[in-house]
Amino acid sequence: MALVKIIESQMEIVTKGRSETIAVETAENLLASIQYVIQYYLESHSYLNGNERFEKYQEIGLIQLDEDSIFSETLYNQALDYMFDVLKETASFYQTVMQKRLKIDNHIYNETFEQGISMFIENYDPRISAQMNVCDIDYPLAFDDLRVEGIRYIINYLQTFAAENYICSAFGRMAVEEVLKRFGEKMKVDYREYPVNLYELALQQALAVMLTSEGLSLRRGKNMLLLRRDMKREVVNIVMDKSPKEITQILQKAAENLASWIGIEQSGYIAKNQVRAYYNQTMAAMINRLTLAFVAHNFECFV
Amino acid sequence: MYRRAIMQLNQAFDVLIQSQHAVCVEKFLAMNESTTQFGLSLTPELALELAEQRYQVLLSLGRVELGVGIMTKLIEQLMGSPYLQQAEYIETLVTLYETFHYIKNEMSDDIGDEELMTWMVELYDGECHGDVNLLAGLYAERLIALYKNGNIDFDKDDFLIKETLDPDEIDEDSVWEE
Repeated sequence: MALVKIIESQMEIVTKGRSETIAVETAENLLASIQYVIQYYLESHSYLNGNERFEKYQEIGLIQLDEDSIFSETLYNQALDYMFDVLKETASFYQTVMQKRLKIDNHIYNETFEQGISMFIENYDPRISAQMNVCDIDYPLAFDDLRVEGIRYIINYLQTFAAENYICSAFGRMAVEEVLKRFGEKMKVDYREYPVNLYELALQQALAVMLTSEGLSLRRGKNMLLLRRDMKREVVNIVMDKSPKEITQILQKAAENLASWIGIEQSGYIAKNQVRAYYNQTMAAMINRLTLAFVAHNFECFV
Repeated sequence: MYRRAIMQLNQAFDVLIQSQHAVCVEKFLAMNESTTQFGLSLTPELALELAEQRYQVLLSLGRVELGVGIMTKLIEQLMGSPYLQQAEYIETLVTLYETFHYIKNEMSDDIGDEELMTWMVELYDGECHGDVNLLAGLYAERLIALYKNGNIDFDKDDFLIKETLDPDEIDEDSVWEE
């Protein structure tokens, strides 16, 4: 039976060949791992059209006349090989992200990338724990789908971060770090140790700057994302006494201007439409949040 | 289509566990060939009872065993013991089998099958003089306590240092307190 062979080989790894018995919980995890690997592999063909997918399934033995033998060792082994390829690609993508990411003086941000993700990639074993994503990822993203498991979570995390980093890079390291420092001062926390999403901090500031008369002539520099007192007054005057709908429209226009200023284009390692989609998604949430704050005459969120 | 493959995978696992029963009985009966010379044997009814009790032990302790190797190895290693009698044959095997898995759970599977079985058989034949309850109680708890206190070095081949398990050194009260 294919399953016995697979579980035996998994047990060999888990127990280092020293035991024929395992806890039920361990067995369930092994089974979940097999399931994850197969599901991941089969879902990777979802881009194929009906006929192509049928042919592919036939090729890997998923469609057989004997319906009792859909699950086969060959299918599992192919799926496992595929997972190792995905792991290799992820490791390579991680290296690119590491090279491109802004060097910001924040312990949680740095530890997540230098240790957390690196350890995950080093220790991830699709043979026995493909569905697991146990690692120290403490740096929060603006949007993080925690329902996703296994390597898919890490891939999503890296892709999302890459999009955030691409936009932050448009402002430059010094500008982002300056916002973080000011945020730390305002919140009375050590900005080097505080877990906060840099992208949201920087983007919110940039959006506010775009509302001001200086917005369209924004130049890169250390203080480009900081709001001076007169700029804050300008923001207040622009949205004061406006209806929520009008405020949302003003913010949407500023968001469009900001997107043009950033110039979301093909960046080489992450697709333009991916960055744009993420920008739209996170900006929509930010606009909702800011609209509510402005309606309540709350302008404390800026530094 | 893939959902069917996944469903089939889960069903296959259930079938796998259930199908062990028949295999167990067959293997246990086959052990008679070796054990009869020591006055130990299983009738088909007793073999079935042993298989059922094995399954209950695994169920109650939350363990999975692919194959039936642990019980048959226990039989192989114990059949020559002067303390093992036909009258307590099944009871002894089940108690030792349960103790084996209990220790495995308590020691988070850090202990290998062979080391644990060797330790159990040596104690059964040695210090315990065939008293399976002493082994399952005092000695098992002492071993677990040593493990939990970090006093077992698994890197050493002879990590189950007999001296530390010497009954004279065991403070029975402290074992139960632990």
